[in-house]
Amino acid sequence: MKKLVLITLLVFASFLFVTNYSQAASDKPIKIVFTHFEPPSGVGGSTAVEFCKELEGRTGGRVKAEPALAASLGPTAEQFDLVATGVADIGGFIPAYTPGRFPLLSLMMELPHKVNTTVPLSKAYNELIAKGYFDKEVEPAKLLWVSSVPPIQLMFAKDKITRISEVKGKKVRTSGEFWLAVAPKLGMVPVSMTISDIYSALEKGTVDGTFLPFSTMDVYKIREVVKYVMEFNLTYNSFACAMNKSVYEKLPQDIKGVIDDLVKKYREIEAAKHDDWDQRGKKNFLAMSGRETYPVSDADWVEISKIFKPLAEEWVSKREAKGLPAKKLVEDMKSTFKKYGVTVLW
Amino acid sequence: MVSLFSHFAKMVRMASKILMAISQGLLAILMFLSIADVIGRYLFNRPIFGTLEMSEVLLVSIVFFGSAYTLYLDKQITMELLYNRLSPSAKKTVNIITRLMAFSIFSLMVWKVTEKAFYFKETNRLIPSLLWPIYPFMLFVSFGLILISLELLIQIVYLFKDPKQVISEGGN
Repeated sequence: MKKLVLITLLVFASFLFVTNYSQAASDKPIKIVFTHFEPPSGVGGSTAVEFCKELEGRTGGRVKAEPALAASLGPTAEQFDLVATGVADIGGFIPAYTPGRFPLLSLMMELPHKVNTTVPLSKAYNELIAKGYFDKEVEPAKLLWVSSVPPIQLMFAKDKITRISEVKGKKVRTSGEFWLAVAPKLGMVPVSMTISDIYSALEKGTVDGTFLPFSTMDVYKIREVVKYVMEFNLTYNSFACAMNKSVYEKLPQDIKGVIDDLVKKYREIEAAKHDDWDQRGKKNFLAMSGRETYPVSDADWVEISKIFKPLAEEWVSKREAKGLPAKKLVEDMKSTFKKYGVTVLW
Repeated sequence: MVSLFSHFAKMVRMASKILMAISQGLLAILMFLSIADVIGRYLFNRPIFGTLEMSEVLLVSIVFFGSAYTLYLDKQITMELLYNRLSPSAKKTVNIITRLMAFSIFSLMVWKVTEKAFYFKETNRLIPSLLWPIYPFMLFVSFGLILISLELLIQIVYLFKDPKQVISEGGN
């Protein structure tokens, strides 16, 4: 009899322990880490902070979302890998920093466009990513959104270069495989580096100039080391945001719903921020003494724009040869961009 | 058994010496490349494409190819403020502990760097600008790290068996 009581008590105690333990486990918030290469003052960094704050608020604290900014978890060029390998759960990255890694995504994001505001271009990009063109190449992650950076300008530290023929022999920082091919055709020697290295490269003279948008002037203090800006006003290279697929799939249904809602909201917010940061960056740059901006001359523009089409065609053929649906994507890009009023230059 | 181990140690040290010679060759290439780039850039307005990226790759190879032999010669930077005041037996204990710790760290590095090299191969990661695959250079680093780990292992064994063999006679 004593034995029976003892066994019953033990079973009851184990039951209590297990239920308490599972209760405790279910009460423990789900931790989501959002990595980004940008500091909190940047477009992507501030978006990550706001996204995390709202995710925590809307899940009533069931999710503990932590932003890990300024490439604190790993190098700028490896932000996507941090998400893919599960070091972080969500991450902001620039696909152009890893040439060869995203053949279709780079085709969409590196070809240049003329736009006055980046919001419609971002909308077009997001419509295209929803069609699943890039799902395979971003595995084991899923793309949440893409936002186009503001128009890229050609900036110089010391030399006032007003004609494109004057860039011959200059070392210019570019990013992305497409611009690596464009730069030598303009006579420049391209040098690749991530955004975080540009300030010191310009300051020390490792490079003479760089392609960057005005939005970087304040965040990365580029206005301190750049004096002259030739306004190219070309839009290429974008921010992308991805989430580890298995982390997303393991989340409870309602939390997935919250994340899906936030993705729709923050892809718009991030796109709009690029424009705001850009306008402020240009204003603050011109407020400094000895700073100048000037447009590319019409004659130069004719020469520059001739380069894009054959290069874009070469890119499409290379990808088609690898069995990728590059032609289909490009056709879809053209019709989607037209719908959003984006001028295609290729 | 002892002679087998000393034969193994000799082979590892020979490989380290060869790698050090390669490292010196790479250092000379890096030097000439930098000079040629500066002359081309400032005298002829024709800088060399890919100098910065090549320098980064070369620098990493120079460091990891030369480290195992440097360790054998005992020419690495050491902090000896407290160590020099220790008795010979305490010094031996410290040497064993530090080498064991270093061996654990370098072995972990071999594992992680090799793993990452294959990950980069799988994901087709290229060196920006040059568009060369990154993974062979990471495997060079791995190889350098393997030799460092083996040299540490050899030194640990010799610290127990034959302390005279721990470092080269020309060492500190």
